[in-house]
Amino acid sequence: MAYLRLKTLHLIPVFFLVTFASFMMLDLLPGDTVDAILSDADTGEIGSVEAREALRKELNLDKPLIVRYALWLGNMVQGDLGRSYVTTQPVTEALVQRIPVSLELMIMSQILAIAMAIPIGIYSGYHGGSTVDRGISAFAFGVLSVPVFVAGTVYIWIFAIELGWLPSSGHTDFSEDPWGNIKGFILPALTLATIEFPILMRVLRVDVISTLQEDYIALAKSKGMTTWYILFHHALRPSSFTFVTLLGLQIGQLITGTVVIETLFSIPGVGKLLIDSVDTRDEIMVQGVITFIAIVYVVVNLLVDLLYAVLDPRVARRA
Amino acid sequence: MDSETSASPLLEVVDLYTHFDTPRGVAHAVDGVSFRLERGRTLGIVGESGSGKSVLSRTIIDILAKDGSVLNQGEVRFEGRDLMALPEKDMREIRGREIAMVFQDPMSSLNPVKKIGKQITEVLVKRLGMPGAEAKRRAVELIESVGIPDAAQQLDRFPMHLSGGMRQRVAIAIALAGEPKLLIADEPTTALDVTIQAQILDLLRHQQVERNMAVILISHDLGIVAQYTDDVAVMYAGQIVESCSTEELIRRPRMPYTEALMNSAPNLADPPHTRLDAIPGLPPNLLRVPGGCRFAERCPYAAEKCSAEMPALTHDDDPSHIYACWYPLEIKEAVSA
Repeated sequence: MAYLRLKTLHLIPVFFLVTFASFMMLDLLPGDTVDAILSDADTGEIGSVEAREALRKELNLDKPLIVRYALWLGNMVQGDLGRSYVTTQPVTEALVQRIPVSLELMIMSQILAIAMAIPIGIYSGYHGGSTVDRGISAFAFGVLSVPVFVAGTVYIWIFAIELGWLPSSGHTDFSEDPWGNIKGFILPALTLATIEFPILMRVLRVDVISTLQEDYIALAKSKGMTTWYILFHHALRPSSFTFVTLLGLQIGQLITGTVVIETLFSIPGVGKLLIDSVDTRDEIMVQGVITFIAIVYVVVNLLVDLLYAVLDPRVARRA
Repeated sequence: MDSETSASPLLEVVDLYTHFDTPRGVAHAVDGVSFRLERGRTLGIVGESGSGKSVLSRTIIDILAKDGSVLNQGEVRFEGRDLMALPEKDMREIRGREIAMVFQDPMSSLNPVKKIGKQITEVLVKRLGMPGAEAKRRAVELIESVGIPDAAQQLDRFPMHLSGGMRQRVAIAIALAGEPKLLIADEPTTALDVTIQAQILDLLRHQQVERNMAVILISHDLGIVAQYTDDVAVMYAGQIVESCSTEELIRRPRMPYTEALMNSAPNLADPPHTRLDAIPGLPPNLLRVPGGCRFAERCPYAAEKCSAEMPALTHDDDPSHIYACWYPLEIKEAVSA
């Protein structure tokens, strides 16, 4: 499939760009990594000169940036992202522990966001300009301006503290208690979905409005199809391009969101790992997490590109 | 009308109005239109772009927006039932089954993301209650009957794989799927190559005869209407300004607008490079229709009375030939001779 090959090739430069840029930015951070690792939190001592130089050599921090990047890249393609400067745990091992947690959170929040955005977007588009549509739009803009941590706090207050239905924080392993695991994810996923669905809903609404002007919708009506059938079977697919594109692009925002949400709800995911590693200047860990995020971003957007071809057969033909 | 005694026609439109409430005012797209159509007959509706032909057809089948911006009045009697008074649920039963439609541009009237087979079978399954496998067989027959080769292979193809002419054949197959008694073809060949036009119109005529279906053929091209219809209604600015049998219209047009339409159609008998007499000016803005005859502004014969008072539809000795004009063509010639 030529289309797939072409799209995959596009992703290679993106990957290099992201990893190199993050490498550079971490290097630009003020302070010395060796100091951060060796300094004693209680006494403030930073160790002997010999020890510092030995560590610097061991971590290759004495070499130029480009060499370090090349070394890191060489190991990375072999699946070795290095070891944590702080805990000496292999970065890949830490990621493997955390990824399922974040993935579950992201998938649940995406499902919730889509489940809210599609019916509301279609309804709003079908009744474009009506009082209900305007009300929904006003509500969506209101929600859009709420910061994610505020939304999360409000949900915790309502559902965990006032109603006591759901836990306010913490994480249970799925293998231990599946229902407990899902319960723990409901509020964080709902929080992420809340900030994400208004934009999705709005773009779907606009596309539905323009699709409903199409001749093929008039033809479907003239066939005697029901409104429900026309909206979901004739109008939804041609209206979902911007929606799907946005879904891919929002993955970036979603990852930012998980960083905040995982901290707020004490969920041991990749976002929490990133924040903790930044705190301890565990640069190699930060680099590993960023690499993972870049891969997710790139793969999701590849999937979105492939989805275009599924949604509209004309796309595959054009490529 | 003196035809009250005859059995009810298939379709009878009585004093139909369709107005659009737009931010800039009310557009009088269809303004008091009446006509009737017997079973198995073909009625041509002819007029320039913007004369209200398409809105008329969409009003009959009731597929205009339902957001309150469309104001309807009048009756659309189909087999004696007033469609305008039917609730949406009953109207849905009419669409596709009793009245079907073919649209102007087959490039946009077929859903680009749905397979051709599905677009045909959904009528059969959803409207006729056919089981899936039978619907597929029937769809193949329909595709064959509209003259598309390799019918079975077409089911899994998308509209993009077909040429304009083939797509219009698919659109006709979709319209025929519900075995309607009335087919409304809204400029069915305007978007197609001239060489394809005759094929599509011949196909429509063939299907009409075979199924004893009535057809409303909407066109801006009087030449097409002359060749393929039994009766004609000429529309101008939302109104019917002349109506009679096609033969009569071609022989004895009474309304200057009809004459102007005839003169503006290219004629194969003319020597090459003959000037086409385009009608000067533009049709009136439907937001602000003039008070008198709506054609007066562009009419070469217009007199003072024309822009002052609207002429009602009238007839001479032949009651089936009606026209709306203060100074109909032949009478004027008789006066000047």
